[in-house]
Amino acid sequence: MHSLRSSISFFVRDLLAPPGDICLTCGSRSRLTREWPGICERCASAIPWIDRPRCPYCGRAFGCPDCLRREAQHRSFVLNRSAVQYNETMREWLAQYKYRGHERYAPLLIKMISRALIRMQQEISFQLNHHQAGSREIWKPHLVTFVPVSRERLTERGFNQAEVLAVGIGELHKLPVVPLLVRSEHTGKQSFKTRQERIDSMKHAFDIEPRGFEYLQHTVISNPITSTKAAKYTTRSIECLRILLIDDIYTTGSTINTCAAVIQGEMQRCPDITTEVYSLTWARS
Amino acid sequence: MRLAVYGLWNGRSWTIKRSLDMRVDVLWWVRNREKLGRSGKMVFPSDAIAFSHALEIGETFAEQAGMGNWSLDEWHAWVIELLGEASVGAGKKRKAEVPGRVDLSFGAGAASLGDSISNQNGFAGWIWNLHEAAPDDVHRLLAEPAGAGRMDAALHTAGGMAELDGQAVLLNQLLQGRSLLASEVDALLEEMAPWLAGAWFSAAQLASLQGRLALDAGVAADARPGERGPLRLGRQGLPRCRRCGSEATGRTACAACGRADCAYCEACLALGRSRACSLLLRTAAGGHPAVRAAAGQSTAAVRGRWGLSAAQGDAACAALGFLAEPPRRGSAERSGRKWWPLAVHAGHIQPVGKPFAPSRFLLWAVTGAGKTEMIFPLLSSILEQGGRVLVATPRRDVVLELAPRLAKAFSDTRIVTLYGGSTERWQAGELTLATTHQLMRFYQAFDLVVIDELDAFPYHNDPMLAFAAQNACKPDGKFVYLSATPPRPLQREAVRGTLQHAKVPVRFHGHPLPVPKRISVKSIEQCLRQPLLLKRLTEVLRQSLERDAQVFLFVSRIRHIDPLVRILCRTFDGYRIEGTSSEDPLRAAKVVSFREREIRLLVTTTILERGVTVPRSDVFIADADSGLFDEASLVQMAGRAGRSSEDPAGRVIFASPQWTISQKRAVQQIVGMNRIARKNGYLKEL
Repeated sequence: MHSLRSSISFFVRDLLAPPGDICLTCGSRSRLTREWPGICERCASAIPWIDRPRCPYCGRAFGCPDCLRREAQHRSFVLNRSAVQYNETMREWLAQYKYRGHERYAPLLIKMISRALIRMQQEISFQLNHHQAGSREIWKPHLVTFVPVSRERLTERGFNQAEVLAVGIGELHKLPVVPLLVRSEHTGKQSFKTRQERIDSMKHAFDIEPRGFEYLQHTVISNPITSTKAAKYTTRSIECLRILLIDDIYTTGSTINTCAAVIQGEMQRCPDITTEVYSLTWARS
Repeated sequence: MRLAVYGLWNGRSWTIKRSLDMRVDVLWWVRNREKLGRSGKMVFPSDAIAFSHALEIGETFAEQAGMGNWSLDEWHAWVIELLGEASVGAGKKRKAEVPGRVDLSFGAGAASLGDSISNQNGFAGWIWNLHEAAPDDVHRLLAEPAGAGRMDAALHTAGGMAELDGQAVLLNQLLQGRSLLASEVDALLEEMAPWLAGAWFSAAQLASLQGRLALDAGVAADARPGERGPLRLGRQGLPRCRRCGSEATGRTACAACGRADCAYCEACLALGRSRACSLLLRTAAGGHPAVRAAAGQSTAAVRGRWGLSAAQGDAACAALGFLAEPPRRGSAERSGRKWWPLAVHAGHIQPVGKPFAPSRFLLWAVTGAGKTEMIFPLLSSILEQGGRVLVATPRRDVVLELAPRLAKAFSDTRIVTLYGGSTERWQAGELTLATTHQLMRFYQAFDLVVIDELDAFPYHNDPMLAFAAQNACKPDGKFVYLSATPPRPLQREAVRGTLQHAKVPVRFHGHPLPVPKRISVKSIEQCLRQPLLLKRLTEVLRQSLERDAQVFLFVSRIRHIDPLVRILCRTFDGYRIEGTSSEDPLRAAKVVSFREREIRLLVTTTILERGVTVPRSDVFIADADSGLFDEASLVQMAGRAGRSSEDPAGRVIFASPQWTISQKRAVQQIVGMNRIARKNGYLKEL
């Protein structure tokens, strides 16, 4: 009897309750946006998008002294673009997802980084078309890969945030996601280190994933996955392999650079192919 | 995480067991083989499997004919079949693998089931009649180094097992009365026994075999039959978090156990993630029954020792009488309120029909009655008998304020204060003072649990905290609730007599509570548009300011504060008037300068309804008819007035366009308390 009464009252209250749901990020009850999964208008409007990167290399929203350093000239990746600036709010979101393990953030972060990829494509295509008049091609990477985490961290956390982002991108943009790297040693948490320490500890942190490169050799290079329209690609092998490297945050760029260098090093084995590594991260600090 | 499963034959039936460290189980059953009879047998059919799968296999195990004669391959096939069913059953609507990713059979979620338990890395199963010589594979198992998290030393060598015994005893001691996830155990050991940190699986397994420690999954299927109303029939039973009792709604691929649909709990993430494959360790504190307070202390003695007023003394003695009672059988079972701590059926944790359930006592003390002083005799009565006590309060600042007072009153007692970021997180003490969320880290640990401001956020209406409180108390322990404004269902229970309670109807200074008066003022929304309408309100405000009182003006909406402050500043030239709310970074500073009489009028919201004591203050509540002010918050706000003995007759004004049931009940409650106080002769002057 009690349960019948309470369930009727629940049902009626549910009907009468104000519209909206609980916002994932601020916890208040309001109408959620359609565009950004799980968050309310107010939170969505507070996202610090990087729409016009000031630094053409690392995608920072303001002038970037790091990219003027001499060693920055010899980077192994072409450029980095990020979805958002890493402010207090974004730090909290990432912490909720990565450290607390609130995995309902994943669709939101994926949607956000996907927006950045679309902008990145537009930007690069515009640049290319500018140089080569007449071509109307949309720039597209051949495959997506991600920065790995150590086995230990993976079992502790249960997931690799960069991998989740990469898989999400792969799904939304119909791109193959290939793991090309493994973390060869446990370097400790990046967030506790200074710039120089990060760069030093990075040097031997990554190794290649042979099965990933095998797959690359067989599938992507000999049969590049592109749209059927570009039939010319299916017959001969590609000359320039574009790899999109995904990570959650770009701080000094040392992680991305080391990963790109390892990939470049391995690609030396195929001398007739030039490899370009592009980096896409969720946040730029 | 993943762990090993094995079958055990005791001569009559098979049982499926799980193990964190197979070596420990082997040695344990060798040691205890007599218990299994002449034909005791162990089967180790597969490599480690996901924790949640292991639980399912253990729980749904049905013995099959001829199992005793099965070969290893048959056992192996049986496990694979069960795993297949388990994953199909759980993931019917979900994709079994992470979609979109190129399958290279490695990494999170991509490992297929067959792959994960096949004989990779040289796994070899065995069947062993315990009274015969061990097969070679058993010797190999014992000799090989165990995985991460296990004890390093070879256990079967002399001294190995003795060392492990010591570790198990220590672990059990450290975890007594706790309910902790593996990551929390690591943090605890890091501090209390660093040599065990990261290598305690073996010891935990031994303690569990000895029955001293329960190894559970953080999230697991709900064992009890769901209480579903007819309108919830279609809803599938979700697994529940065993730490906080919430339904675990999230399911994601997990690299730790390899499942693509590993459930996790979103409700208690702040204390570390509880998931279907994470280990939850629980130990009840000590086997001895809960401590009773010594009966028969005279009211005068209690009052004299603790400096209590007559009303406080009477209530404290009633509570002491309650603490001295023997536990009553299932007294909690009767009240059927879902959100109420004791109505949350502990389900699988406490088997249904357990003879004892903690009984409850309500100390209903008006605002400013001196609730804190009253709990001192209760705490001391249990502490003196060697019991453990918990005081839970909703706010951190109350913990920090109360700690030194308790330390002074109980100088030779170990007191632990717990709150988010506390440094004493893993200490154990006789007296624990904690914010409500910290309750989740305890399991049947306390003889007395005192819950302060039961009706306040976050405790009110949060089944998670109710569940945690229930679990923290020993099954035959006692609950004491403190509240000035108990929720209505509880009030009704008190009136009906199903809940033991004592009322403290008078403040410590012995003067009656100020009774709210009503003035009719248009809604603030309208007044802000036509400031002339505020005249009625400003007149009474002026009287208060001129009689030199500090004025609280409560409004229902944050957005009203600033415009109202502007208008009032114009009206009352020469008085400092400020507004504050939860969004104000300078809140603490403003409250301090209000208390020091620099600010004379403070416009605020319900955030200041509790816990703030300002001498010589008057209270005005604008829009008192707002739905945001319920009976409890009106009584609490009214309770800010007249708290000091110098000015006991503060004014309380409800300003609203209409009279509502909440206002009426609030006034009734205050008048009723004054009447009881007068009748019992607690009032100083009549």
